[in-house]
Amino acid sequence: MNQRLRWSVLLAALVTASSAALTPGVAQADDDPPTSRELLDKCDNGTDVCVFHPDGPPRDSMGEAHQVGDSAYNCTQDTQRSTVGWSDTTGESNSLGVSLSAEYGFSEVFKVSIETNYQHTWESSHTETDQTNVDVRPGEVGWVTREAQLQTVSGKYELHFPDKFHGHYIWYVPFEATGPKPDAPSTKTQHTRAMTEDEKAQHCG
Amino acid sequence: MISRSRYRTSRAVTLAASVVLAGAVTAPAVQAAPKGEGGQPRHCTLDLATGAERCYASFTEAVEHASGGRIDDAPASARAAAHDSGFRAEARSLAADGGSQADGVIQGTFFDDPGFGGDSLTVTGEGLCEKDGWVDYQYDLEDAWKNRISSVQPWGDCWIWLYPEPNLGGDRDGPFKENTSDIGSLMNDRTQSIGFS
Repeated sequence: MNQRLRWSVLLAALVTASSAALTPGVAQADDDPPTSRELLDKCDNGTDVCVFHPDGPPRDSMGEAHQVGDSAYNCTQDTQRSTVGWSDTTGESNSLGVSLSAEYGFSEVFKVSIETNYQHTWESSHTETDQTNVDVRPGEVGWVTREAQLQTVSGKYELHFPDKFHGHYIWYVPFEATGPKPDAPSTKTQHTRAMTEDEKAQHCG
Repeated sequence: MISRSRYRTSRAVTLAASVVLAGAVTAPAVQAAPKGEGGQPRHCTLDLATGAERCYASFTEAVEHASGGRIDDAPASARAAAHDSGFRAEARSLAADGGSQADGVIQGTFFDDPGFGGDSLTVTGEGLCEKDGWVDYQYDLEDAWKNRISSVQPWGDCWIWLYPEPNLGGDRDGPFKENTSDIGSLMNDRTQSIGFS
């Protein structure tokens, strides 16, 4: 049996009728298919090969605008400049719902892939601390919102197993992660509006 | 022409040798439509065994086809999936896929732009590359894909070799052993044939 034929047999689960004569049996449907998490837990922990293939360049987006720091209530008769101090952390999310900062084999493979292909590191979280001035007119409330720049990388893991895993030697697992874009400034915006009667009662006495 | 070959990765070996060893399989000519509607990237798959080529609007669809379904569905977004504890792989076996799917091993993906951008072509073959110093598979790009490749990804234990002429002719660049987001000036937008070793 030559090398190619041996591979054909080994890859019985991968081939179909065109080479069925070479295979000892027909692949059967797996009634209990593995989850993406089960598969990726095997990355560099029971696999011969575990590679992440990006399916395109990182996609940039803006995170949701959200308030940072406290609101500033102006209960005086004059416009006041309030300094709002804040600290805000932008985290990551991914299709597995686990932190890439943990030392999983697949997370290391992912991060190395990003560094190799895009010449920057993957940040699982980024914290920005600053103070922002807000000019608040009499009877109004002021606040600050922040929008962080995000990047999304998606692609496929290619896993090769030395023995069949849930019926196959090779698995392809899609993966997508969104996290703070490295070295990208966030957008800070000052807002004001009239206080409600409840707010006046609560904050101005 | 699409063929299987065993072509030593050396300039000294002639094409004739590869043909002799190949038991070459010639696939019917196919015409790609690389550019999608509205200028959106198109993601195509090519089965070296049959010459069948299909194009999709997303890379996920393309790889799902190329892998014979051995992937789960990509989440609509990472955020959504991260909050869906019930997200499970739809790991369909080949036996359940029927005959409409390609069923080879993904050997390489080729991109129109640097950084794995633009249109893509994902090539499947009959098996993994053998790492024995021979080109196991080769492919002459059709006209629509000639002189376009700028970034490459080797899959399936393959190394990728790029050539500026059909039948692995002319200069050679490679091997590309890892995902390569910029293949460099020698072969950028010049590739007309590809070897997998």
